[in-house]
Amino acid sequence: MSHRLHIAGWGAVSPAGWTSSDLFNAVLDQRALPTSLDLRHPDAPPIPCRRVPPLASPPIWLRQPRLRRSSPITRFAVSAALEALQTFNQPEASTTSLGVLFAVQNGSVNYSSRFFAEVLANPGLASPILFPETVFNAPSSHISSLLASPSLNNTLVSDAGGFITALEMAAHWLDDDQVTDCLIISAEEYDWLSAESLALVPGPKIASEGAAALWLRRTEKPSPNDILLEQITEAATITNQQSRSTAIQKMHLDLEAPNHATLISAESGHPTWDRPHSETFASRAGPRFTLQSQFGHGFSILGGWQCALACELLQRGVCHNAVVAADTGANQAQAAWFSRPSH
Amino acid sequence: MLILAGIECMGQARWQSTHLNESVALSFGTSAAAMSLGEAYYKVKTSQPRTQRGLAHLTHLYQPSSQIRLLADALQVSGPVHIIANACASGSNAIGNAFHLIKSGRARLAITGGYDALSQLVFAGFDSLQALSTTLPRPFASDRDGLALGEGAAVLTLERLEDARARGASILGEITGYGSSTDLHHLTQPHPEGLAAIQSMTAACHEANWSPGQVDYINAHGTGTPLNDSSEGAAICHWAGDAVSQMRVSSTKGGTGHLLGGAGAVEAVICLMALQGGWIPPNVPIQNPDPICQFDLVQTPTDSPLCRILSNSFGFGGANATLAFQHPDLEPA
Repeated sequence: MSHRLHIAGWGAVSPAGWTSSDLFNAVLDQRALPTSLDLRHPDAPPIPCRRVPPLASPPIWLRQPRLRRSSPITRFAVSAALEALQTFNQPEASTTSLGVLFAVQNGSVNYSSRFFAEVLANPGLASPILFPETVFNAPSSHISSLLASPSLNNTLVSDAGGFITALEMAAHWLDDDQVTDCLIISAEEYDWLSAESLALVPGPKIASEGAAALWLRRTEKPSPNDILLEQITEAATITNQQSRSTAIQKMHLDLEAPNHATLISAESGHPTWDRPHSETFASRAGPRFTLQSQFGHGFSILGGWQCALACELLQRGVCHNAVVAADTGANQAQAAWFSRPSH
Repeated sequence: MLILAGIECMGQARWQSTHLNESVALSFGTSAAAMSLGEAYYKVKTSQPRTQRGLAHLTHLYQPSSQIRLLADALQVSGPVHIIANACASGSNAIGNAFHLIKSGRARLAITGGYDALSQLVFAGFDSLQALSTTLPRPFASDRDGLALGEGAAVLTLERLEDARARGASILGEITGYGSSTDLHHLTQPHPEGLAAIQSMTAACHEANWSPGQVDYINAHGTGTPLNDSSEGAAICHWAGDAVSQMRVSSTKGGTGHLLGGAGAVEAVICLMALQGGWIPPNVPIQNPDPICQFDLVQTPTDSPLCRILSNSFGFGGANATLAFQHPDLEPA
């Protein structure tokens, strides 16, 4: 990164609630979040899940025509994005170009599942209202529309590490003057279709849902209260030639953050799955936070929740440096280092 | 399809073993990817709720990241992966992203493109929107009645022009510009005046340092749906200004069908072939062009030396992308 970049806002929706403070408080309190069992069919295995609690009343932005029929993934994404932008300075909007990067893995699986059931029942009567909402970039399109921003908007399909990949692309856009501001968002919604897939693969088994968002912008003269994005490590890909352990080690070697930086790790609470991660980061001296065992498997959101927690920790003065280490398990390992130096 | 296209591409690029030892950025676009595998998973899960046999394999292969990893392993390359899912603009967005990675020096080598395979869900989805032609797709015809879906993949290798020249590569074309914008009008319908299309064409030409009068040919998105073609036609007319009557335009989707996430990449390959061969790929012949076509809609195979080409791709969600291709013998932009 040739320019200094800072986090101007962040937001999170999680099983702990609809704000990043809810996420932070649940982590700090080590609060056990309720797990429910979804039995979608008498013959199907019950699915453990941690859902986002319902809102007491519908938010005002749901009045926007494009959001009325949106599925939960869009609503989670919008809520996190608006929380991140709550200090967005509207008067300067005319000189602002706001890019949107949306990281996702499962996407709008509620509507995809419903639409496909309709297709199998009678393709001629499948709903034209559902189909457009099934495309991966529907949530990010709604967000650009809500914010009246015709600038760049990319949806990246990945997994738990996708948020860091999107953060890196946002940094490139800002470095190259393609946008003045960038929102990085990830969101997922619970559905048995994706949740049951967790039983088929190694790793955590409790499905979760929610969203996370960061507002990234360039800063010429960082102020003491700014949360700075110091570094994003080069993506270390997992291939036939490079194991997951090696990729995680490469990520760690590339990381320039001080050894005492707070680590927000991608560990899941499953010792076998976590071993490459915990062994690689064993030498680090700083405090360590993990989210998956408490919040569940958030698919693409995990990296976003990690970043939102890093910002909360830095803003509240819990630490001066925070490292988010995202290990996707199957694709690539990548880390981000944030700081708030003058606190 | 993706791996076959990748192998053909690598054979043509003639990268040496030294290239394969470097980090190669992988930037790909897809919209539905392997949706048919997701459909198979759904059918098993709903008909035999207890069954798990064979599903792990389906779950793995369904992920776009697995598909790109299979490609990378087949081509024996590795590097950072970007998978862009901007609906029908995905392929062009992915190529544009790879172009910027090379141009900025963040990558020295990139493999890029787009792909999509047909599936029940996608076919029924476009049918539910009444976007499918019940006759034949006729882009820019006044009586057009929709698109025909297709499937396919295209893969390109990108490297710096000076590197390609230094190794004596057979250079098929130079990417000189990329523009991307978001149409805020509606989730599936473009703004009637094509405001975002104007923005993406303008941005691509700004980066390429071209004026509309210098563009020899536009490969239009041209799906054959009433709304797309009138919006894109209006955008081309507005953007081209005084040069519109000389602007040669066609859509190749009448021949290939709409390849969704693969469209932008396959059309990029068509543009490169046109640059190399000196011909303009024709629109399917139509009797009555839409009156919006103030440009020269090319309807017959036409030999013509081409120097500068634009390729448009627009998608659901308002994703708009334009790529600018230049003949390699022209001086770098």
